[in-house]
Amino acid sequence: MSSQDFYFEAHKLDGLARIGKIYLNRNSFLTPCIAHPSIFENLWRVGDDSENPLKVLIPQNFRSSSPALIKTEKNSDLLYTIPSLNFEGDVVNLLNLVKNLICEKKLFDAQDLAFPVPCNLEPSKISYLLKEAVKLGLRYFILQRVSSLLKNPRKMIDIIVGVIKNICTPDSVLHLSSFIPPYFMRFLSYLGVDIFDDSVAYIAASQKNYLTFSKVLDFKGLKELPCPCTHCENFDLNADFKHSREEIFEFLLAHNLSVYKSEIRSIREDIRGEVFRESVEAITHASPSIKGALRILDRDSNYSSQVEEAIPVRRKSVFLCSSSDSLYRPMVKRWRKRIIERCKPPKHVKIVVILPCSARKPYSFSKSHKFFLRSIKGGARKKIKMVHEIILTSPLGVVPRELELTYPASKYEIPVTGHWDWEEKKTVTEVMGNYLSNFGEDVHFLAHVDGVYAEIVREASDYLSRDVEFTCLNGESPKAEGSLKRLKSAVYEALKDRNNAVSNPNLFHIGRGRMIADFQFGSGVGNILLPPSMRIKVEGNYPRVQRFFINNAQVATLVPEDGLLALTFLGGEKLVEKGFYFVEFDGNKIEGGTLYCVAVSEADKQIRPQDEVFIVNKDRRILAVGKAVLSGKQMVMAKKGPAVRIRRKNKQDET
Amino acid sequence: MSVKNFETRSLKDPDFSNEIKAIRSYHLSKIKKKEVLSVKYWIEQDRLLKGIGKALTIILPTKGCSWALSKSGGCSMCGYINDAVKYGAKSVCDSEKLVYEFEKTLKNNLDKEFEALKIFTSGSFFDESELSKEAQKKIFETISTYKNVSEVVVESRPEYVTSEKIEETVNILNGKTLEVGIGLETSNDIVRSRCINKGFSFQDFSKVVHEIIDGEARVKAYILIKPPFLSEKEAINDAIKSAIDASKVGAKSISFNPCNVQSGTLVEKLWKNKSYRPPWLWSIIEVLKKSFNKIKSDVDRIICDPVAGGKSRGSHNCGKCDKKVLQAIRKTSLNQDPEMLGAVCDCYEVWKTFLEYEAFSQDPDPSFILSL
Ligand code: SF4
Ligand SMILES: [Zn+2]
Ligand SMILES: [Zn+2]
Repeated sequence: MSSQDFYFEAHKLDGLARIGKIYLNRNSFLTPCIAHPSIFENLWRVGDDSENPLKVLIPQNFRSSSPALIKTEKNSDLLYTIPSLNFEGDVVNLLNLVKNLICEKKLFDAQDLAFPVPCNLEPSKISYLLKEAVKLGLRYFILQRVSSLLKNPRKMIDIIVGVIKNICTPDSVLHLSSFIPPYFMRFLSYLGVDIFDDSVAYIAASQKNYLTFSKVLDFKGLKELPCPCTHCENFDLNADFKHSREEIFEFLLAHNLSVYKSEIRSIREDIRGEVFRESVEAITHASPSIKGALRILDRDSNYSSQVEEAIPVRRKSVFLCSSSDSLYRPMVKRWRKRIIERCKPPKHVKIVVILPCSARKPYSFSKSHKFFLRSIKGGARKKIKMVHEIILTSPLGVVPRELELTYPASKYEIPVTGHWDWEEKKTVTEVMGNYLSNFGEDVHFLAHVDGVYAEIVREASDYLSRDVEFTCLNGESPKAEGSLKRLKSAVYEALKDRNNAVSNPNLFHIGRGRMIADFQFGSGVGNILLPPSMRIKVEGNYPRVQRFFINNAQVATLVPEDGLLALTFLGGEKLVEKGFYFVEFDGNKIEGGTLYCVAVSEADKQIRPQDEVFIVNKDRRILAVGKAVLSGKQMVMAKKGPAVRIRRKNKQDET
Repeated sequence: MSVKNFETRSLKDPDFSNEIKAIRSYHLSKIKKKEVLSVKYWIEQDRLLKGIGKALTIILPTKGCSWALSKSGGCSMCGYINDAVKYGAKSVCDSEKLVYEFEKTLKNNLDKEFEALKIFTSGSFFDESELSKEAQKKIFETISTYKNVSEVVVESRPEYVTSEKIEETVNILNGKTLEVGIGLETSNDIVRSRCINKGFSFQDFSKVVHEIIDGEARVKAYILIKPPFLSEKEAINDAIKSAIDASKVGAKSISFNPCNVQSGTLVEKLWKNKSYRPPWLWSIIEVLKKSFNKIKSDVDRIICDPVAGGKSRGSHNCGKCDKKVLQAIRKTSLNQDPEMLGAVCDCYEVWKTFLEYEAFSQDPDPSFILSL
């Protein structure tokens, strides 16, 4: 088997989870997928029910196997498997064996070998074993005895995420061979496992267990079959006694296998549909250890930053926040972090108005916000540019008006019942406190909120030791006429003695562009792209496409779908100069619409999947602009697979 | 198609020895060994050469197995050394004292009925560092005066057995049958060395068996069911093959020892790590059935008494049927009748399926699936 015959590419990431593709000779199939054990051939047939599956031999034991006989005949759809370990003392001996096979005897290419990883060993030993294996070029890993971790969420995350995902390159395949019930598949896919063995369907059938997506049921106790698959539809539960033991086994097996099959399709579909995280939150109810593991992954800062690196910056789906875990979603934490670290408020701001969120997005198109805006404008009149509005919301914390169109602020849904739990309140208070601390003493804070929102603002004001003026009094809601009147006059009062130094009518739009740039590319980038010293023109009506020009040359476009900027090459140059969001290509001319990892020599570590990035050559000349498929770190690590989908090439450069 | 060796493996395996030794030493440093041990003994029903009868078992508290005490670390599953007298507590291991204790025990049991006498040491009876030459002789001389004893069993590693010693002992016993039990464990040299660390080869075993037979004594081969690093299915086949091989070289008693998890052993570490599960009782039944089928006419007895049977550290099934199945195994041993092996439980099907899929999952125990 030549090294080109089998390889793996990651195509779409959602954190550690991914849709990948296994290429085998001229065929290919998608992952996550199922590996069927074939007990007569002693190998797995990988790839759901693919007619041209990848065959992977089962491992022998490193100790008990008689000096293993290995066929050296080239076989183009078969991977040989290194003997497996269950004993720390053999790590070095095993590695010597592998080195011998690949480097000295040259019996195999590293790509033709599957490498078993005993997940029940000491983390330090697994880590050593894997690092060496990766160095030798191994890319197919069989995770063994993962079942021993499933009851211990801490261990599960430490080993699968902390060790295995951390060490394996993005173009490595993870094939899990342990006995695991179907409801662990989704969560383990979330941790980045690509291939699942469905042996449990057989064991469960022999145990008279009826599997579902979230449970293992005792068949003997069932009054109804919850599943409508053809096997279940054709099985008469009431005539159970008429069926022989073999018939019951065959029925249960067929149904159980169908559960694996359908779950794996649904996993792929959910990753593709960009709703995978939501579906994982839903499955945490199946097992406390999944719930625990998700908590560790979200809240332990080492792991959450490892996951965040591979979370796309935009999705096409609605962002559903329906569980308490949503508060700690990597994308939500990223939002709060960027708001505080990257977004600096405009200098000319003299009032901050704190508003409640609305169900309709973007906020400014909701009924309530239309009222608020009318009062604010009425109070500020020509001095409107001195007002900065922020919206208080869970789980994002704070949404500056400028970012209301930016994903996920533009597309999130929460249960709006007015019930906030303690953690939510605490988190939102912290974000608001931190955000407000950026404003000087001369800036006046106005809070047009009631209920829980008001409590939060009060706490933040205590925390900052800054006064906040409340405009909803006597238990009146923000929408009440009295409140709105008070808002208007409070704005008027606060601004009446201030000099209006701001004249540019486009300032609000420019300010929005700058803040989005800061949020998207880093603190200060807004002023680099749209320098205050230059004449900036804005075209287009918010919330539709808006174009930003400097001296009649376009630098950026606000894309309303996700509220992020697309940059022109001119804009890109300014970013690349700073060393931001570039991907260095190992050449001068890119063929086709995709830049592959193999040609990436360097990339900005800040790059996340779906980020706007610039492909440059060694001299940092821009060759093309596109969207990242992987994170910056990953595209450097991987040898296979797409790194950037190109949107436009730099024509100037082609001549 | 060309076929090549993965590698050529030598039977010496220092890394393996060191690991076993380290685990053992650590454990021995933690437990407090007794300075003085009394002789343990019991009488129970047993399968004797002439049929079902009573046997008196006496355990002499020697210093313990030299192999386990050596720098080899001993065998990967064996924790007998934990029960031996504290090493160096000379006063108790003193051979004269042991002979005295032995005689006293025998005398105290004179009024009881038994035809077989088993003398064990948690090591090798013929090892002179455990029991002096004179003491060994004295013990056999004492036994020879007991008329109702017809069968004497001792245990030893092959390296302590010589033609002269057998000849001498058989002479002293004067008509009583001498059987030497040897822990062959498996006839597969790779498994015996690389999984068990036994320290002798099948050839060493065979040579000694011939010497014993030539000296007109008998050999009992102990076969380990499910050494570490073998799957359940491999273990079943290994045990059956080993019994056949042992009978071929002349062992007339086959004693199956289902592996159990003893403290301070490598097996215990693997077990705690979820890399090892003691054999299912179904596997024992399978081994016994096949062995009776294949070698019944070549041997005098095939016996099995699972230590810690039904417990998580011993051979076990689902928990519901363990008692029943254990009883079937014991009855079969006593009566030498494989017909008595019949037992049923739902977990039989699980075991059967598990045998086929363990090679894929590499999970030694599927029982957690229900409990997660
Ligand atoms: S099994 Fe026998 S030889 Fe091995 S350590 Fe134990 S007593 Fe010694
Ligand atoms: Zn069904
Ligand atoms: Zn049972």
